[in-house]
Amino acid sequence: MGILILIGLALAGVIVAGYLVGVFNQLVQIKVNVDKSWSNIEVLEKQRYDEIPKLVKVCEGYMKYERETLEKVIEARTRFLNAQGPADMAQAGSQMAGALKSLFAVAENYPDLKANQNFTQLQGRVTQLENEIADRREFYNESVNINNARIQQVPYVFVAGMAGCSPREMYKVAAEETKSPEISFAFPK
Amino acid sequence: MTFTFKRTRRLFVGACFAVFALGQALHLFGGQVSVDAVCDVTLIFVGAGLIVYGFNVLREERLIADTPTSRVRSVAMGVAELAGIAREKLPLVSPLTGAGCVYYRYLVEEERQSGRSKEWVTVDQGESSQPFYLEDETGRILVDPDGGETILNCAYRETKREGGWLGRRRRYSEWRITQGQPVFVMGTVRKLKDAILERRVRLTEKLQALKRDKERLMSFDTDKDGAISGEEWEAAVRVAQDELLREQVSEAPVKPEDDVAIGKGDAEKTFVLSDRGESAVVQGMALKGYGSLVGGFGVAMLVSMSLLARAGVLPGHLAIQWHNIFS
Repeated sequence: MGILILIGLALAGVIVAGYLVGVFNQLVQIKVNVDKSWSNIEVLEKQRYDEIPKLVKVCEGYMKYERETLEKVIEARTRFLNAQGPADMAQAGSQMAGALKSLFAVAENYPDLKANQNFTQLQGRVTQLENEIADRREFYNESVNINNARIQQVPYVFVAGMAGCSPREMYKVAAEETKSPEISFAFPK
Repeated sequence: MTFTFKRTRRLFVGACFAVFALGQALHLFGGQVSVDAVCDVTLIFVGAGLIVYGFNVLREERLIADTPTSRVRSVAMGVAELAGIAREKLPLVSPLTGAGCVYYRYLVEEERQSGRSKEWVTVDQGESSQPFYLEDETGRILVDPDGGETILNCAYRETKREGGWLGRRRRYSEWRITQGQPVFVMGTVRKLKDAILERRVRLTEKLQALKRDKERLMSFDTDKDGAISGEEWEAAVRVAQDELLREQVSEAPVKPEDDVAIGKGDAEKTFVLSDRGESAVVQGMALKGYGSLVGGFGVAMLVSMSLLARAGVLPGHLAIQWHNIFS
């Protein structure tokens, strides 16, 4: 009977080892998912970043007296270009979103600009990209949430170090992004 | 191939019969190998197979549990999980009930005598491969159901006797997703068609057709020397490109929602389509996965015990007499 117990233990050992390999692979997959979801935000941020010069160029011709608003957009774009890591990028993204909000709000005062087809298309494109970025930020945060929860749970906590998993930073939206932009119209005298 | 409980059971029984036949053959030809021992060894492999299958199901279950649900408008290419409402792309009718739906799967089984018992044998089965839309609050995306593992509630089941009182009993089952029904999909999102590649293929086809049409080809022979020079061929290519451009402009534009689809991927094969929520799908898969692990462990242990008893290591009465079971 002893040999049967040995076989049973060996078989159970194989199953436990297989289970632990599964746990390890799962943690690696979660880590990769977090990285991928971050890269997926960057893809859209880059697209938005590419649309800014076109938007500014279209607006320049009409909004001669709104240099400050346009400069804020360009400044936000430059800051976004130099941003590193989720916190910095979130802040730069918020600044850009705020600058764009102000730009679109001010544009309301220029009927010729609003009637320009290029502007309408670019505005639609930027708004669509912002919605998609917001979705992907949520997705990223959900991935981070899964990662941060899993690495503290049993049995994941025992292999998290081996899999190179550590708590990840959430994409926190700055308080100013949730506020409406301040709009000041510089009417020509 | 999807391993349902029924299919696994059939594989198990089939393996036992195959082993029994092999054992009989070995017995006839040499008499050195016991039929029961061959059964034991094979069933150890069946147990190991169940364990591997269990691990595979659990891997899929973890993948679903650890992938957040995306929104349609911002879904990225690659493995994704979506939840929404089913919407039809083209009208579809289920074959057994004639009900309108966006996806169906059906199974027709016949009751047959097998030794002392009766069993249901599949005589016909099928599923629709027509894509349908999944719609959430942000947009819609095509779902290509081909090759998916469907976890659906049975919409119709009826047992009828075919061909009068003496006829065989048939069981008809149908699973379907109807318009407006909530659906959950875990699969791979990909571009349905590569516009650049498609344009290149169509241009190649046009140029091949031009080469076959000698009369038209010679219309590009501007110097009338009876041969198409490099420059003349370039002019012909430019004309074909213009024609293609005109054709593409006149064609109906592709809807944005028809541009990408979720389905079975090339790298990640997991593709689950269900009318249940994510948690129910995950629970069902966990049950199946852990069930297979426990079952595989049980089979392997039982058969190991039998094999050891046959070898004289354990008491002889623990050996399972397979030939008595199958005879």
